[in-house]
Amino acid sequence: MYIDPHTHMISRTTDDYEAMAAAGIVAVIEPAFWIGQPRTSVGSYIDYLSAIVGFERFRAGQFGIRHYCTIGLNSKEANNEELAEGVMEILPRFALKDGVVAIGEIGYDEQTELEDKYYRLQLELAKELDLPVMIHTPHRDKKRGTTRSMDVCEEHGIDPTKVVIDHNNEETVKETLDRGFWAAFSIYPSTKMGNARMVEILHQYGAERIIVDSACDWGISEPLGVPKTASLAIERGVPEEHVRLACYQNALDAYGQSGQMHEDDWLNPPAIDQRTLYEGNSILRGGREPRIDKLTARRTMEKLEIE
Amino acid sequence: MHVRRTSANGMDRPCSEPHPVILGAVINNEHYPLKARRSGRCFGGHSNRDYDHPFRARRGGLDCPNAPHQRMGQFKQFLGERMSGSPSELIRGWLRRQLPEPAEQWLDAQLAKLAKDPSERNLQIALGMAPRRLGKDDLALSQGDLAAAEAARPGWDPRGWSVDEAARILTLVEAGGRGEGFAKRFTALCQTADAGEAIALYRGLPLYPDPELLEAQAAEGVRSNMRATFEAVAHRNPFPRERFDENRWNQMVVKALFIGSTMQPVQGLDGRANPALAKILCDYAHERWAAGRPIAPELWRCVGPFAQGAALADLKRAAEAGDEASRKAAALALAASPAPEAKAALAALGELASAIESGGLSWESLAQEMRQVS
Repeated sequence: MYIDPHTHMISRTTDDYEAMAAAGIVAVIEPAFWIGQPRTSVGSYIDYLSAIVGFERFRAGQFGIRHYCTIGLNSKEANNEELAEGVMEILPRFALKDGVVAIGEIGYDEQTELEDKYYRLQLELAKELDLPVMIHTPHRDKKRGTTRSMDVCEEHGIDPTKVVIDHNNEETVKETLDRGFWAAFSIYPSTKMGNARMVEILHQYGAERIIVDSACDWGISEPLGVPKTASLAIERGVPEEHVRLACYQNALDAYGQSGQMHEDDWLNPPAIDQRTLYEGNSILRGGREPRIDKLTARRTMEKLEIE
Repeated sequence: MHVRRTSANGMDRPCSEPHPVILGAVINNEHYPLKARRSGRCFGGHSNRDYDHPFRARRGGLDCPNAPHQRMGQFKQFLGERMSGSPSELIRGWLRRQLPEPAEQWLDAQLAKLAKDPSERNLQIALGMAPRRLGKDDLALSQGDLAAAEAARPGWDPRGWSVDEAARILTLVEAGGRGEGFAKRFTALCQTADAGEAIALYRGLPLYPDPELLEAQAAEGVRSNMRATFEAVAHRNPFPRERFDENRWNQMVVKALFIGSTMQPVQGLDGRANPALAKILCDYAHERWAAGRPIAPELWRCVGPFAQGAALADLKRAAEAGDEASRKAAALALAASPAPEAKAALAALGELASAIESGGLSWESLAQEMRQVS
């Protein structure tokens, strides 16, 4: 069983859901983020948040995957002050919904003043609502941005065990772990972590407070990032227990602090969920065989017939 | 079913008066003592041996301000039969019976807060947090409860509700206001609802005020491709039968087949069958035949009463289908057809015809059969 705690499923197809379910992913967390080009009105932000707490949860459930999300104003759109003000007003309404496991993904993109302002406000909101925090560390000037993100958390008195610093790499991991935060790594081709490098990190640091995710989105990314990394790690001698922690348990422990995510949700879901929102992980329950061959055949010109 | 943990003196909250074994319940401020297995007194000081009928309300039964109530297996049935009242009162009673103490207190606090200040924010919070405070167990309902529901609001069918859904609907009924205000609030809530909220919101439709103002939003619910949301409006719900115009009704029935849901739990299927719907369904059957895809046997239910001419030919074709369920459905539809030729076609189906005559075969029995197979 795997958890992928950073997936922008709204941009992924049902093929991805099928492949993820077949590979053993039982749960995903979808952080609120931008959708590729900037939103210009709070109405579309509201509709987006509705979609990730509504339709996307349902869509995932049809493939036997339990879907959770984080709610927040992302760093990019924090720079649109009018939009940001509107979003801050409606955040509490969404942050308390079923299946919301954190405030996120928040933090810095270019480390502007406005980004800083709304980052801090949302840390306070997380404290008020007693929710964990998912932090997006900047891709440019990452080292300083990550340090700064943690400094500001400490300034606001946030408990580091309630904060997941995401998109770590070799340059940031030590400080993140030393300062008591959860360190998540996004296995994302070309621009973020590769999984051979991830395996090295697991060898070097063990698995305490380390989380693997895919951060798959509308770009060229890998929804099987977590299971592939897990398998590679085992192949290369990382102890099974470490793999289990990094690819399943730590995510559950970190985000489970919200009270909104439990192992029972997929192992023993409430009757109402089974009737309405979640068709159960058919792989777990010994249902139909994963249709991996059919999946591959479909994605190429190999299988022409469409029924 | 939950059994409340009680302390040594038989009560789950401390009380200044010593009370030996107490078995009973407080419903709507009336005390209903149950015959005790061993001797005891009710908290009003009456010995249980005074009772010639265990269910008679006693005088002074509520002397103790910390009146407890305990649930027991044989009591539930009785409670269901005894309770009556408005939908709100019924839901409150069911929740009080089932929820553990802290959950009940949270709900009461929310409702009290909303009674004083029914702001959008308070409503959002009360609705949003229901599952985490109350859990998601199925609402435990007896036959008596269902009868009380039907009596309180004909067509209201709370089977399959969970406690958080029931609490959400109760909250909206008590704190949502009326008229245009309620309708606006309802629409806004539906627009930002998460999956579970949406289901609760639509399931409560039979209980909301001024339903004519809610039709447009109910139609949005039916428009959803989330099967669970669609079914929250369409199934076990009198609202569509009572309020949808013919076009909207027809679209809903066809959609039930289209998205792989079922028709049988739709209330009013037979009463609201109409020629236009029969035609749409026959056209849909033709589409499915042309595509080599199976036809849900239920489809014929709304064709039968209007089956003449071409539609009759369709029924005969369905009667020759390979699977038992389709043949049974075709037979039932033929039995409902006004056309004289239908009688002959039905007679040709031999034992199916007599099964319908004797009542052994009906749409309900067929649905039951099909549920067992799938």
